[in-house]
Order: sequence, then C-alpha cells, then structure tokens
Amino acid sequence: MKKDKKKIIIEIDEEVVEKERSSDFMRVLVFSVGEENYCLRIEEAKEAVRLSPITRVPNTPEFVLGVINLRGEIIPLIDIRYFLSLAPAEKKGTGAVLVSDVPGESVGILVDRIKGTLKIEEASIQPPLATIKGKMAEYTIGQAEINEQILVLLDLEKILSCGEIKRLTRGGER
Amino acid sequence: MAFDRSKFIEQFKSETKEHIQKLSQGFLKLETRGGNKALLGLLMREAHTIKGSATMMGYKRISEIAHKIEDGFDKAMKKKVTVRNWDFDTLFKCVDSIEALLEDKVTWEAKGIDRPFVEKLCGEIDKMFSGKAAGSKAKTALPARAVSLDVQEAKLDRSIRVNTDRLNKLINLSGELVVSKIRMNELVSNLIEKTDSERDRFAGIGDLTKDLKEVCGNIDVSAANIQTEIMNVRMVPVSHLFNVFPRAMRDLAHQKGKDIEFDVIGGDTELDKGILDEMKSPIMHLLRNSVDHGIESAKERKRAKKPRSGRISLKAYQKGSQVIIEVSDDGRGIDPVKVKEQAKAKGIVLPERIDEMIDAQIVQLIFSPGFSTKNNVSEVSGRGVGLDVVHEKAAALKGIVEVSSKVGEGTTFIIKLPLTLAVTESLLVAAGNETFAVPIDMIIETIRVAPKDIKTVETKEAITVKGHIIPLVRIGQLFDVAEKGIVERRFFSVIIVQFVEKKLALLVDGLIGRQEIVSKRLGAPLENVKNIAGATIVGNGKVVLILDVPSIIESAEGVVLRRPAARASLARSTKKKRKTILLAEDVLSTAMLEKNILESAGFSVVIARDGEEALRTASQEKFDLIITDVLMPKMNGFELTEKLKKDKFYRDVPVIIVTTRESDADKRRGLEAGADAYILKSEFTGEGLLDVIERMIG
Repeated sequence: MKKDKKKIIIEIDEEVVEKERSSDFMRVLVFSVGEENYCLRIEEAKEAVRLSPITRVPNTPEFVLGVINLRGEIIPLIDIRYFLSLAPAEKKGTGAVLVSDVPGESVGILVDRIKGTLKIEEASIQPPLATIKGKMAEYTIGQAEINEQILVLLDLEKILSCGEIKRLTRGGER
Repeated sequence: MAFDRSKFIEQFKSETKEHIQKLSQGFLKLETRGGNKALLGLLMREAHTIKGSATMMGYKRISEIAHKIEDGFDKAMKKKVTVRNWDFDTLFKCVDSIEALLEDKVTWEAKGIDRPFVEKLCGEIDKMFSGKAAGSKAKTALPARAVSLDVQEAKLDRSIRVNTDRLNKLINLSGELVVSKIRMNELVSNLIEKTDSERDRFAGIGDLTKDLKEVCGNIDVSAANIQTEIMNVRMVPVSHLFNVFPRAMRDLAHQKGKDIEFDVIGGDTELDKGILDEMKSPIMHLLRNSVDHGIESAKERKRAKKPRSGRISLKAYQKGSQVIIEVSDDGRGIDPVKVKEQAKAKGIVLPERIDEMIDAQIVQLIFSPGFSTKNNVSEVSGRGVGLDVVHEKAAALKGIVEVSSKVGEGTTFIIKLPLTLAVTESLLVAAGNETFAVPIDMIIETIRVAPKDIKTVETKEAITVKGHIIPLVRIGQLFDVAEKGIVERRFFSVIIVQFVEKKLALLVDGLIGRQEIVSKRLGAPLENVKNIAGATIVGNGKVVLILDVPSIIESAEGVVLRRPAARASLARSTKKKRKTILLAEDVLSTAMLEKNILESAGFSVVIARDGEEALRTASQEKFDLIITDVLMPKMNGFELTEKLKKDKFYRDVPVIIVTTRESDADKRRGLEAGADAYILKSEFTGEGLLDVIERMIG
C-alpha cells in the first residue's frame, strides 16, 4: 500500500549557486502558499523536505507550529502564513518544509508546496507594490513578473530576525 | 625543514599543553611529598618530549627551557647531583613560560618572556641542578604515590582528539539508524506475512525471508551497540579537569598566605565531556571560597586546636545515575544564625517561613540570588560571593548543589550531576493526545488519586501525600493540551516530582512507560520556552518534549509561598482603603506577572505601557506607589521617576524601579532620579517585591 516517499524534495547544489551568483541573474526557490506564489533567494534555503509529524510546543506564539525531526536533529517549524498576514492553514499536517540555516541554526518554514527553482534577472525585480501593506511589506524585497504571473520575493533573513522571533529567543511569551 | 608545519601546529600545541600539565603535576608532587627516582624519570621524559617536538616545530625558546629541565632531571635521577634547594618557583615559572610561548608573539611579549628572560630562566635551572655529586641524602620519597601518574600516562596516550560537533552528529545518526531499523523490522515482518501464503508460487522464498530476518536481527544488535558505544565516547575521566586544580590551589594558598593541603580523590570517575567542561569555573569558585573564607588563619586554627595546615579536598564519585562532586574543607564552617539574619535582611525568604526552617535548610539559602554581594563578604563568614552562579550553572546542567556545614568543623559543598546530558532515563506520560517526558531523577513516586482527594486551597489544587500537602498541577492545563473526551474518571495518575527540597504533584492522563532518551535542544528561538527543558526523538521518529521540572516546581512554588503574605495584606487592606499602584512596563508578560502578584496581595493595579502614558495616567489619579521599568519606548523609567519626583503631588510617593539593568552606574542613575528602591529582574521574586512595598506603604 505505502508508496516509497522520496523524503527530500530538493537538494540545493551549493556549487551551482556559487557560480551563478556573480552574473546579473539570481536563482530563487519558488513555493506557493494559498493562492499565491512566492520565492526567496536560494542561498537562504538549505533544502526542502516533506512535512513530518509536528510536535506542538506549548507557551509559544502562534507562528511557531512546533518542532519536527529532521534526520535526527530537532528543528523548530515556523508558519510562513503569519508573516504573509494569512490565516493559519485549515488542513493540518500537510505542506512542505523549507530548511534554512540563515539564523545560524536550522529552522524549518512551512509552506504549501515547493514549485522548484528559477533563474530570474535581477533587473526584473520591481520594488514592492504600494498596495502591499503591513507585515507583508516589511518582509518583501520586491516582485517580478514571470510568465504573466506575479512572484513575490521574500526576505527570509528579515523574517527570521523579526522582533517576534527575537523576543521568543529571549524567553518571552506570546 | 621541508614539510609544512602549519598543519601540525594545533596538534603540537594541544599535546604540549598536556605535557606541561603533567610536568606541573609532577613538580607539585615533588614539592609536597618529595620525589623518587620514578617521578624524576617521568619528569625528565616529559621535558624530553616537549623539547623534541618544540625543536621540530621551530619553537626554539620552548625547546631551550625544556632541554634544561630534561638535563637537570636526568642528572638528578642518575644521582649525579643532589638537589638540596629545589627552586619550585623557577620550575613553575618554566611551565608558565612554555605555556605562554605556545601562543603568539604578542602574548609572550606582553608577559615579558623575551630572550634575556629565557636565558635567565635557563641559568636558574642550571644553578638548581649544579649540586654536588651523589651520596648525600636526596629528598625523601613516597614511591607509592608516584605510580598512579604512570598509570594515567598510559591511559592518555591511547586517546585521540575528536571534535564534539562530529561526535554529536554521530549521536544523531545513530539515533536515526535505530529509527530506520525499527521501520525495517516492521517491513520485514509484513513481507514475511505476505510471502508465507504465496510460498508455492515463488520457490525458495521461505529461505530468503528467513535469512532476511536473521540479518535484521544482527542489525538490531549492532545498531544498539553502536548507540551505546557512541554515548560512551562522550564520557571522560574527571581527572581531565581536576588535574588543573592542584597547581591553581598551590598558587592561591601562597597568595593568601595560608598553609593548605589539597587532595584530589576519584579522578577516574567518568562524566560527560560536555558537563565536565562546564564545571571548571563552578569548582574553581568553590575551591577559592574554601581557601579565602573557609580555612582560618594559622592563628585562629591554633586557637581552635586544629592542625596547622588546612585541608581542602576535591572528590568525585558515581552514585546511581549521578556523579557527585564534593568540595570540602575543615575550616570554620557556615553559621546558620548569620545566614538567617542576612536572609531576613535581604528579603530572600518570608520571615515567618524562615523561622520554620531547620539549620540544614537555612544554610542552603546562601545559593539564593542576591543573598550576598561583594560588599558583605566578611559578614557571613564570607560565603556567598557568586554562589548563586554556581547554583545556576549546576541547575543548567540538570544538577543540584547543596551545602552541609558544621560551625568550627568545616564545610562540604556537594554538586550532584547527571552522568551524561545525552542520555536520561525518563518516564513518558500522556496528556490528551500528546506525550511528554519526565526525567526519572526528578520523580519520587507515581500514585493514583481519586478526584475527591484533590482539594482546592485558595483557587490552587493540592493533594495530601503521607501527611504532606503538595501543590498539584495538571499537565494538560499547564500546556493547554486539548482534552480528550473522557469526562468521568475514577482515578488520575499523579507523578510526585522533587527538585531540591520542593515537591510538586503532576496530574497526567496516563503513564506510558520508562525509556532511555537522548536529550536534545529545541533549536535557537525555542531555547527558552517556559517549562520545557528540551526534546527527544522516540522510537517511531516522533519528537517528544521533556518537562523542565525545576521551573515547573518553581512557578508552582511561587504561588504557594506567596499565599501567607497575600492573606495577611488582604485582611489588612479590607479594613483600609485599597492601595493603588501604577505599573509602567512595556513588556506585557512582565506587566501581567507583576500585576498578578500585586493584585493577589490586595492592591489595585493600573498598567501603563510607556513612560509618557504613565505620566498621563498619574496626572488623572493619585496613586499610592509607582513601579516602573527602565527601558521603555517614548520615555524611560529614569525620566519618568525624575518627572514624578518634581511633581508636588508625587514628591512623597515611593517609586520602585524594576529592571534588568544591573550595572552600578544604572543603579546610581536610578537613585539619583529619586527612586526609592531598585529591584533587579534577576532577583525578582514575588515575596521580595511585596516586602519592599509593604515597608513603603504597608
């Protein structure tokens, strides 16, 4: 009955990333949350894995979904929806996890689906639209139009060093 | 030399450090107990090794010093000379110089270890070993003692250095291996079940599955062994750390002009490397305390008819799943009467509570934060400087520190540590659909309790066990666990946990069983989550959180401790008008905590989120007391205090600053601004705060 799930969805080849960075192009990792597509600089993501069972951690703010087991390492799982000002996902236990080393230690970010990687021209990135407001604007670097679709480029580093997370690190509660 | 030295420099440095440590130990032994031929030979060989590798690596000055030592000890050993006047200060100077010379030029120049210095040092060594030919009596020897050093040397030589990060990775991987293994076993049994029925269709499949099963069994055993062995790799003998102390104690005793005999016992006891590394400063702290304040002056000792030299011992041994480290001295001991006075004066414990305490409990108070500061070192026989730090460190390592003392006879500090941080035996418990782990060391017993036995004392639940009232906490409520649909239960499972002297009953939905777990961190932003100490991965790959029992007890205890004060002031405040307090604090959780404490003591509290708001609120209503944080948006606490103190309505209203800023300058700044009290958040306890308030407006 059970299919052999391939656990790791994307493994990022650091050498390729390194080579391409010098040009005017940048490589991004595209993912979807709700109806929208978003992306982030590929250097900010270490890998993407399928969601494994989440263990809830009490006394934490709502954007902390809990912790998951990443090959024997326990990593926190953060809900990207909070930072996009979206309501928490209705269907629990599904999605993909982006693993980032940006804060110096591995952190998982839950998104709906990983779409793949894309090479985009740096010049094609426009500053954030004035219509994007609030939290979302803070974490957006800009957007690009690719194949008639708007792709929002997020600043993961900023998300992971936001006030809420810093407060949490210091032991503050919700 | 043609080879690239740089690759070997780090290795050379750490090896040499080990060798000079052995030199240092040897010299110490020679100085305190005299030496024999074996010891002299050992020292000669150590110096020889240092000389050899230093020459290879191009550390010329090290090799010169080592050469002189080698030469000298060689002569002494072969009885070509007899050293009458061992100059130990020079020998120790050599050790220190070599250590400094291992660092860069800046370091040794800063320490004045230049060419002439080294030449002079070499000259002094020569002089020491230029005595007459053998025949006259050498210093007396204690041969039995010197042997243990040889044994240890053999042990050390067989070790290699492994980066702890790598080791941790191995531990993780071995855990994964075990998880995958369990999954594989499942799959294999499924396979066997399926193929059993189809045996006729595939010839020989029975043999294949049988072999497969056997191989699985072998992997089981190997995986388990790998996991245990990898855990064992983390264990090192405590002598790795203890060996540095004799030398430090010698220097300290000289410096303080005290005559001290120092013993190290149980150096072979093994402890997790991670824990051992963390214990260096706490142990040094306790030892220094013993030298400084424990051991009396020679005069005092004579008067007390004690041996002239004070005894300090450092002892380690294993007891169950704990390693005990003891620092004892035969000094003047700690006077509980003085501790009591001090604790009362500082508001460490409620006065009525301290009167119930027995002496053994009272002396433990010296570990309380804020018990003692540098200013009152001499008051309580000098104990207490930074002992709260020792306590904190031990607690961080899931250990306990206790003290037992008899006035006039001495003091023993006892640090109890878990064998390893990596593996702890735990009880897995269920709360709703969630599972939590409780470290076994913290558990006294598990009992069953009928709902009617749970009593409510002033909104808090408690049960009576063997005549003692123990506060009860429901894990489900503590952690907001979604409740299971069971309404009526005849019995509840309750775990009685204990930390230091305090007990707490934890009500759970079920006991799952004991398991050895590998404790892991939760990862950066979740490091300080309340009531959670860490997490572990159990057999099916799921993450299970580990309860932080000390912190759960502490928060529950806070409630219990506060009660008498609360009742007392409530009674008082119903007679009088309720006093009102303005609380300026921008962090909501802190504000709520303080508000809670104040309200339960019968005060009425208004919160302002910054200095400006506080000032505005204060102008609309006259408060009896102001409590303010320092760091706040718009207007900080100092400014607020200053402004209030200039206002004729508030000139005489007490202002308490509650803050994390601990520097003296800040304290001064606060008092200059006109604050009436300054409470550190680190010292913040409900009782302390209420005491201060009581004194001001009670």
